Amino acid sequence: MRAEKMDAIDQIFDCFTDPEKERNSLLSLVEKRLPGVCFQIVSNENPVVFKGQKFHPPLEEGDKTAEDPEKKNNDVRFKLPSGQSAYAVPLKKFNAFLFCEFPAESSDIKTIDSAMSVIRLCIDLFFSQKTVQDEQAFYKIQRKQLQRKFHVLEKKYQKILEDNHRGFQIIQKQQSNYSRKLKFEIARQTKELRRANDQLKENSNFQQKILDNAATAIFTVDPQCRITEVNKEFCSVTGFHKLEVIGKHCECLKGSPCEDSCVFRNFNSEKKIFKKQCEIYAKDGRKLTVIKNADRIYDNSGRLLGAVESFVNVTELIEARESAEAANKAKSQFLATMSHEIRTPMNAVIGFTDILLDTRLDENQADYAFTIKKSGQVLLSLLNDILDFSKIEAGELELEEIEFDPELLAYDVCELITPRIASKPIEILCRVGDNLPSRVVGDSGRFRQVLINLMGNAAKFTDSGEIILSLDIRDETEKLVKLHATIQDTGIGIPENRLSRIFNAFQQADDSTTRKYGGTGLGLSICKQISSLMNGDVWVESEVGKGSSFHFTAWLGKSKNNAVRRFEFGSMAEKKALIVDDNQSNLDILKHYLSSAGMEIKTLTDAERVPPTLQKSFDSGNPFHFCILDIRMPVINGYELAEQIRNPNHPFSNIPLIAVSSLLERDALKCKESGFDGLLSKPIRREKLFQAVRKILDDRKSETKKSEILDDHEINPYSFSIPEKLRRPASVLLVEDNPVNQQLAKILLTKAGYQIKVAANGREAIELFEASPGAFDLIFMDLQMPEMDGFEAARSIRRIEKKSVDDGQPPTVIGLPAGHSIPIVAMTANTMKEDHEKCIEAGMNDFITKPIKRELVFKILEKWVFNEEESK
Amino acid sequence: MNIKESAENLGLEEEEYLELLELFIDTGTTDLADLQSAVEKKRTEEVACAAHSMKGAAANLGLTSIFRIAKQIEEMAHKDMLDDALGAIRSIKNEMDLITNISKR
Repeated sequence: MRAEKMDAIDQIFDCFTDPEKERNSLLSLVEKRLPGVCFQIVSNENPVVFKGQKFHPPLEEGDKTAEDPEKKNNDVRFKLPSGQSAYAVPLKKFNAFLFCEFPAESSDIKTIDSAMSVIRLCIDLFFSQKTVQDEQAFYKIQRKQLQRKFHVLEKKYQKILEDNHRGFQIIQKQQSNYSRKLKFEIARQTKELRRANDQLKENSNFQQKILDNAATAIFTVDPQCRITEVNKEFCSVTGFHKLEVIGKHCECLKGSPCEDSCVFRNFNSEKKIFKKQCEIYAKDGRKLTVIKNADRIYDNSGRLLGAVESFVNVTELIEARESAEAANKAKSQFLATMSHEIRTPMNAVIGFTDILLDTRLDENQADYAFTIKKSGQVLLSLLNDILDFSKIEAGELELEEIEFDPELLAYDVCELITPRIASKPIEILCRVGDNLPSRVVGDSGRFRQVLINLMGNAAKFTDSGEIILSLDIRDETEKLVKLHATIQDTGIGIPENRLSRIFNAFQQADDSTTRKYGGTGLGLSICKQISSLMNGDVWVESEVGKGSSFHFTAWLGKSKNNAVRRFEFGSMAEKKALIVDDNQSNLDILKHYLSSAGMEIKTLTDAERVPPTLQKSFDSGNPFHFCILDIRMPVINGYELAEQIRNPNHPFSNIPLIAVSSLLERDALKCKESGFDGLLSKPIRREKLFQAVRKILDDRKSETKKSEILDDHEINPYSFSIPEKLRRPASVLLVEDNPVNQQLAKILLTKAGYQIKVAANGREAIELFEASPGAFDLIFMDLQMPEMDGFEAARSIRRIEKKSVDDGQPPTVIGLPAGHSIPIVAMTANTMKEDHEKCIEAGMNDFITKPIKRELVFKILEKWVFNEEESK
Repeated sequence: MNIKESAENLGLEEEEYLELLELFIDTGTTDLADLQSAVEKKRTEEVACAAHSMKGAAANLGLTSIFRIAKQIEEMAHKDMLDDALGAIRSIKNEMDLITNISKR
């Protein structure tokens, strides 16, 4: 087929590609028609020699031909040199001429013309034939092309058909696959569903069993509160049959609309189960108290499906509890009354035993009487515990609101406990936090009771070592402070498995403890209860053989005078001191206190190293300003050490020495003899410590005074033991209406370390005094004031004092003796004698005249507060 | 008037003394107004009271001139002779203005 095509192409292009062949076929055509004529075709581009002669178309003719397109087709006639006629007929399509040479014989024009016509016709014929041939060839080509295209399209069609068929086959195959899979899947899922369904049935069966078995009444409701399901217990509690309640509104149980017990109305937290105690009615009208739990049920999309509620009938339980509580309360009440009633005769027993002991008794009798007294005291403390305990149980313990100084209280407790460890080698230390407020408001008695109890415990269970009472502030709000007391001992400790039970009433760590150490086991329980009344806690950390730490926290009110205690450090800053004690804790505490005053402190536990240390510091030109020495130390005691230091051979022999001794062992005379300048008792109060140090340093500063002291070295060992009243800063009530005078007095007294409260007139003064009669040490009273003048106020105060004595009311504040009367000092601008007399008449003790002079004020304070005993 | 000296006499810091002076002037101004209205209404007892109070405060602060004038007013009131009291009050006012100026410096 391909070969065929090639032939056809050859045929098509034959006549075109070969102009020579065409020319020849034209020549043969004309030669055949006119045999006598000689023909030749000559190309324009390549003129050829014609009949041995170079043919040159006459230029003229040629130009004409070129210029006149009309004549272009015209034949050119010319005569050959031989005389023969010749014609050149233009062959435009060949870009050539046809030369015709007629024989010489036929020179007749007519013949030649007719011959020329024949020649022209032949030429036309030839070209017409040629055109036809071209057309034919073209159509032939077209046909062949179309045939080819058709063929191609046919093939394509065939291919598409084939593709379609294949695609159809694939789809068919896939379809059959899918359908097979589908069938399989349906079968599988059906099977699974069937299994799940079985499981569900089983579960539901199981759940129904659980529901019916539950000892709790359970029912479910739809969102409209209609009961949808109940269990057997529900029926047995309420007496309703299942069919009686299903479909009914759940309020049929209440008889009235559920207000606050409806889970739909009162449930706002999504997390907690709704819990409520409420009352329902059984079928027979009995009122039941139930505790119900309820929770709402949602489907996965969060739509509310209803709620499930369960309840327990606690009617009987509540009745039982109420009666038990009542019985317990009655018991506590009885105990309280009883112990109170027993206390009175017990006090008489102890009191008369005391009197008995003062009479002349022989040794045995005294011993018996002493035993009676001791047992009586034990019994009394036991009674007190029981009384407290039953008071707390009966909910009768109410806390008082008194302003007190927690630091003072802590030291008081330490001093109170000291006699209990008299025979044992124990140090009692007290550590007060820097930020402890100087005044708090709360039940100081109960606070003290807890501390005494815990300290007493520590003293009881510790045979040697130390007991440290630490007191600090732990937390603070706008109105409250949280105090934290820690009582740390080096006693026997408590086994871990007993730690939890020691706070239970009538429980001690071990029954054998009771036998060995005595006690009721009520103390800690009382502490716990008191602490919880104060919104705090009591807990313990302990290790057997190492000791225990009891913690006590309590929230107390803030006093208006809430400031942290400020001490006057005076000349103490940057002074150097050496502290010697074998007890590291005591060293730490003293060092901390004195460092806070800006002092440089060195501590030593080993007395032997003291003289070398002093020598070294003396040599270095930076000697110590004073030493604090503990009296009870191993190897070398404080007295011996002081004597060593005072050896006149030492360059430092005149260094001031302060002795530290426990309260019971203090021996002022021996201290003086050993060369001490001052004596402090343990536990050391910050205030006393600073006062003593200040005094020592001040004495040293003024050289003249020092030489006097050195001369007749008469120290008053009690110079640093401050009267009981001064353990807290003296508190003054100023009654004065003029704000200028108020402010002046405030500044003067505060600067001198007094606490001051101001009343603007007599009435306010009485109110303040009545609210806390023991809170003040002295009253400064202006005479002329609006509302109530000073005379009347003084008279009223005396009346109040007298009344409280007559009523036999105990003094409100510890340390305030009955019949005590507060010094009232008049302040007057008048110097007239009758005014003074009027003051004394009104019950005042003294007077000062304005203007207020500082020295005068301090003299008065000294007279009426500091030396109260002397002035009486 | 020497602030420093007056403060020292009282055993106070200068600043504390100035604070007291300010307070004195603050309260004194209203006291003085009360005093004046009491004088105008011829209420001798009230006059005596107010003058007494002012006298005390002035004495405490060492303000001798005010102290003296206040004392005079008090005596006038006791004698029920208030004719010159208004003049005395004006003098106190002047004195107070003087103190204000000094303390502000």
